Formats: sequence, structure tokens, C-alpha cells
Amino acid sequence: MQVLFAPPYNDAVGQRTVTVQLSEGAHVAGLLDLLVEMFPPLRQALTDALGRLLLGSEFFATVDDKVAKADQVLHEGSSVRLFPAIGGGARIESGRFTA
Amino acid sequence: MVGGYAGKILEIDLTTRSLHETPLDYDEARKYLGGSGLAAKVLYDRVGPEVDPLSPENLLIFMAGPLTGTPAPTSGRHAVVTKSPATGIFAESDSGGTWGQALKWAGYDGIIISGKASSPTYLWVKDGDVRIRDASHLWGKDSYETDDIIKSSVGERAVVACIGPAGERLCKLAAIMNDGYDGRTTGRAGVGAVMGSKNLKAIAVEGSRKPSIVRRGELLENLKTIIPQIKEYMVAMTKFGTGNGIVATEASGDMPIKNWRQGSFVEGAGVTSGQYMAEHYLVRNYHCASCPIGCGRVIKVENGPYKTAEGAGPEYETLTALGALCLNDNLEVIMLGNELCNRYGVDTISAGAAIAFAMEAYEKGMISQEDAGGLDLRWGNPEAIIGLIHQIGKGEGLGLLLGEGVRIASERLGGLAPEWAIHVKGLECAMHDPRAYHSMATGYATGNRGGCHLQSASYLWERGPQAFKTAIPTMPFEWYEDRHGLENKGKLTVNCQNLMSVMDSLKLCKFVFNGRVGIENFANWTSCITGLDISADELMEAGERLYNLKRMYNVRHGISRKDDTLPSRILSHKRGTGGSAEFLPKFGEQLSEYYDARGWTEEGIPAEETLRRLGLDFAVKHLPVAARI
Ligand code: SF4
Repeated sequence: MQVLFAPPYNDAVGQRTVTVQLSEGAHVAGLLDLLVEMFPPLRQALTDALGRLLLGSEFFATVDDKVAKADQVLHEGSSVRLFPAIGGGARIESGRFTA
Repeated sequence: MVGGYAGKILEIDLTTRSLHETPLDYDEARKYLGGSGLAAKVLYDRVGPEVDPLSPENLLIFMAGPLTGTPAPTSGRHAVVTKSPATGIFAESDSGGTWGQALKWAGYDGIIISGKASSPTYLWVKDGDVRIRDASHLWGKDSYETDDIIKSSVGERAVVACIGPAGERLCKLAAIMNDGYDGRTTGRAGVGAVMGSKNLKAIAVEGSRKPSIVRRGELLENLKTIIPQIKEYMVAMTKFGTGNGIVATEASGDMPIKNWRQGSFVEGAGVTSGQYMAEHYLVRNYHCASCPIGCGRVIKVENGPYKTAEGAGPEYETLTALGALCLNDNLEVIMLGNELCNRYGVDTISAGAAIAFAMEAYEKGMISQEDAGGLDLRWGNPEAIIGLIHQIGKGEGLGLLLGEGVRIASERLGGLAPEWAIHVKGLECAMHDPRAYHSMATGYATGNRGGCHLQSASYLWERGPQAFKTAIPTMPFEWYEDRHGLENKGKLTVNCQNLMSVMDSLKLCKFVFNGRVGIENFANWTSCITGLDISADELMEAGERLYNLKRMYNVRHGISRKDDTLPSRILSHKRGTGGSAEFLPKFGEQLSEYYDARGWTEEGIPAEETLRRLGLDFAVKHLPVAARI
């Protein structure tokens, strides 16, 4: 399965695209856990101080170009894309809420 | 030859129905750039403290920038500048869409309107041909209808800026709408009421005269790499609009909730987010002219009590003002509310603020159900939100009071009501909380048009180092990750305000920063387009000049430190829960640092040497006597 990293996550990963093998029935949260294991700089960008994924707030994932939730099941050949929230709302870069 | 500019300004006196063209003074243009900067100079010279904002003597100035109507990314914008009936001081408002581009292509950098027409009127400007036309049949029509009717008369290629019924009734929340169902807006500070006071319903423009671009090849070469970069960084904005980050805004404590007195709105944020809208209601994106991002939403609610037309959807400010601020988690209500505000020609930020204010007054027993025309103004009640928008738009019932803005409404209600009127200098605060991003304390307090987030937009910089470095590489201090800290926050506001003044004058959209572009790019685009060699430093100095010019306009109207403050709720009440639960901005120290960095006195008055350094010698005579000693 292909994962595409939008900036600035491509900097954390060192490349734009990564191919990963997941077992049948794996879901988005599992993929994200695997990615932060594989690329430690991603952990700071994608999780909070307690290590919880900030999916849907700090960053988004799409699967085959549709917004994905953490429990969405992935299939062989799915195309996943990660990108940060920006603009009127979220913080635009990695880091943690200081509260 | 200077490129970018059309080289002419159209002046129209509606009282005498006379018009003439003034050649653009290129020396002035280099000093004040264009857009709200150049228009501010006109206002400074011609509309003094003695002028009533709603009198024929006030000017209503529409101004494009040197980049408007060119391929520079996000440059399809124009400014409206006037003296505000809501605040009594300097007003500028900015809009995207295609109207500014059409104005430039019609052969004008700007239109200066004075006087008052004897009956409802609209202007039709096409390639240098200008007509003053009767608008009696348009009076009372909403902005979408007005757009349709004018286009059926002058042709579909025309682009219309108009007021709705709110502007006709001189409502102080009235906006000027442009681009019809696409709902682009110069929304803030009551500019629509000034247009209404002149009996001017609309200005339709069309043109085919694109401005020259002196170093076209060089510009296009630069854009070849910059545009893909902007698109890449801004995927979230393109996909989900400016509401893409609502969940994070709530989590960080930046989102004002329940009239700024609640800390969290977790579930409400999720179902009023840009993602939720994209999943359920998005028809397509909308791009302002020359914009590679396309954060605009075209939405439709097909059925049910909150059915909408296919048209402009709400962006972040509206989602929050008509959502969390009123404790409303019904996105369909927000979308219909947005459409109604657009149709009536009402600023959605101020409308949301006025409704939240009324809900609090109702909760505290100062407004009854009878006062509200039978509406039950309990927090989050959809019928109350929609009902009050109708009342404000039509100038009926409680809407008459709320349409004056929360400052005046609270003074009229009396008692403790001013405690929960959230405004600065009469302009309702936008949807970013200084308790979450402390630099916004001086950002709001010293905003030249009042409680506006876009005069500094410094919260964007408090969020991350990269945008900070790209936007102003010469920022005189390092970024540090403490949005609740005090260090350098006053200086940050100063630098951001100067940069925003540049963008408001060249006419660029503030969102373009998220694409990792900044002042160096703006200088490059401006130089390629105009053919003048304009450096980033020269632009930043122009930004500083413009901020001081607008400040001096306000100083002439009696503004000083006593007015540079925040609502007590933001200064001294903690949010209590969520991402900024325990934080209050340390305001006094920050403001002193701000004045110091500005070269202003401790009373907030630009020092004489500051004015002279910036080439604003003509303003020295307007310094208060005490500031000259
Ligand atoms: S980013 Fe959005 S508001 Fe800005 S110019 Fe583009 S479409 Fe218009």
C-alpha cells in the first residue's frame, strides 16, 4: 500500500512516498502507529504529549481521496495520504499544545 | 512604463452625477502601494474628523492593488475604505472573488465615490465607459437577486458588488457583497451602510484591458515553481476549506465559545468542521481570481427546514460565529444563516457576535422573549439564530438594536450588558482568542479598524516556526514555542501588522502564507509586474508607513491608549477548560512593548520622529498638542 506524505511530513520522513505491507484487515490507526514507529520524527507531528494520535485535528488522512477515520479498514492497493490542518483553524506545524 | 496598475482612478460625485478620471500619481503609488494603503491616503487627505460617516461628505473608496488582475497567486482582491459608521474611525475591508480583477481590467485602479444620489442608483463600468443608472427596481432586493437582475440587463460577464437590504437601512453590520451566489464580501466595519447612505445599490464592472506585466517571463518562471508549492502545502485548505482546522482550534482554546465564556465544545466542533461539510454538503470548490488554493466552498442543503440555494458556504469565521459562539452545533443552520447574511448583506462575524450577545442578555434576563419577537433566545436554538438574522437583515424588532453592533446595543441595554459586549473600538472581535495566542491581545487592541484578526494575523506565526521564517526572514527575534508566553509578543504584532498592511495594499490573500511564501516573494512578484525594483525591505517600510498613517487617521479622531484595550472577559476571565484553560494575556506589558517597537509615545501616539522617518511629515500637524512636547 502506498502512503503519500504532504509537506511538512515529507521532511520528517525524508521522502514523499512510502510503500508499506499491512496484514489483511488492518485499519488506519494501525497504519499510523506503524508509521510513527518507522519514522520517529513523525511522532512529534502526529501525536500529543501522551502519544495519542491527533488524527482529525492536527492532521488528516485520506484513503483513496476520501477523509478517513481511525477505524477505517484498509485494503491492498489503497492509496493513503497524510496532510496537516492549516489556516483558519489548526496549528500548522508539528509541536504540542502547551496546555 | 509602470506595469500592474491601470494608471487611472475614477471619481464619481453622486450628488451632482459628475465623474472624472484622475491619473494615478506613481510616486504616491510607490509610497502607499495600492489597495487599502493608497485608499487610506485619499481618506486621510479628504475625510476629516468633522465628517459624519453616513453623510454625503464621507468617501467610499474601492481600490485594487498593483497585483490585482495579474497571475500573482491569490491577487484577485480589492479593498473598500471609508470612515466607519460602526466605529467612527478608519475602516477597511477586503474581498476576493473576481470584482477587483474586473475593475482593473475595466481600466481603473480604483473608484472614489462621494456625495449622495437623489434616488437609488447603480453604476455600470465597462472598459472605461461609465454609466449612472436608476436602481429603483433593485431597492429592497437581496444581493443574489440584485446580481441576477443587473446581469440580465448588462450581460453575464459583468461582476457585481452590491448591498442588500441591510445596507439600504444603514445597518451598522452591513457588508458589500460581490460575485453573486459565490458570496464574496467586504464585510467588516459597516461599509455597506456607507454605500446605502449614498443611495448606491451596486457597482457592476466588466473589462478586457489586462494590465501590462513588465517582466512577464521572469514572473511566469517564478510561478512555475511557486504555484505547485502553494498547492502542495495547502491540500487541507483546498479539500476542506478554512474550516479544516476547527477541531484543532477548539482543542487549542482558540475558538470562542458561548460568547467567549466557555472553554470547550468538542463534539460541536467535529460536526461543524470543514471535513463534515465536505462529506455532506460540498458541491465544489470556489477559487477567487488567480488563486491556486480554492478554499471557497459551494454548498447546498437539499431538503429540510434549513434548505439553502446552491451557493457560498461558510468559512472558518462564519462556522464559529454562527456555531460555537452561539453554542450551535447544527451545521445546516450555520449554512442557512450564512446564506441569509449574504442575501441581506450582513457581516457574518458581527452577526454571530450580536446573536451571542443577545442570547447572553436573554439568559441574564435583560431581553425577554417578547422583546425578541417571540423567539426563545436560549443558547444554540436554531430558530433563534435564523430568526435574529432575519430581524437584523430587515431592521425589525430586536434586529434594530442588534444591527447597531454590540457596543451600542449594550450601552442602550445598560446595566451590566457592556460586560458581555465583545468588541474593540466598536468592531466585534473575530474568532480567535488572545487567551490562546497571546499576541492577538495587542493585535485586536491596536487594530486600526478595531477587533479584527486580519490586521495582524499573528496567531498564524505563533503556530509554527517555518511560516514565521518564510513570511518575514528579517523578523528581529527567533520564534519560540510558547503561545501563552509574553516574550516579544508586542514586537511580533508590530511586524505582522506591517506585513498585513503590505498585503492589504498589494492585494494578496492572507492564506497564501500557509504555502510557505512571504515578503521576498511579494517583492519579487511586485518588481516583475511593475518593472520597478522593489525590495522586501522597501515593502516592509511601506507597511510600517501605512500602519502609522491609518493610526494617525484614528488619532485625529481622538484614539489613544485608553481605546487600545480588550473586553474585560478576555482580559480577566479564564476559559476554564480545554487547551487554554488557565491562561490570560499579560496585556499591559505587551502593549508597552508594542508602543516601544512602533516608536509611539506611552499614550499610543506616533512620535514626531517616527512620522518623519516614514515620510509622513504632513501628519505631524495632526499630533495632539501633548504628544508634540
Ligand atoms: S485562499 Fe480562499 S479566500 Fe484566499 S484567494 Fe484563494 S479562494 Fe480566495
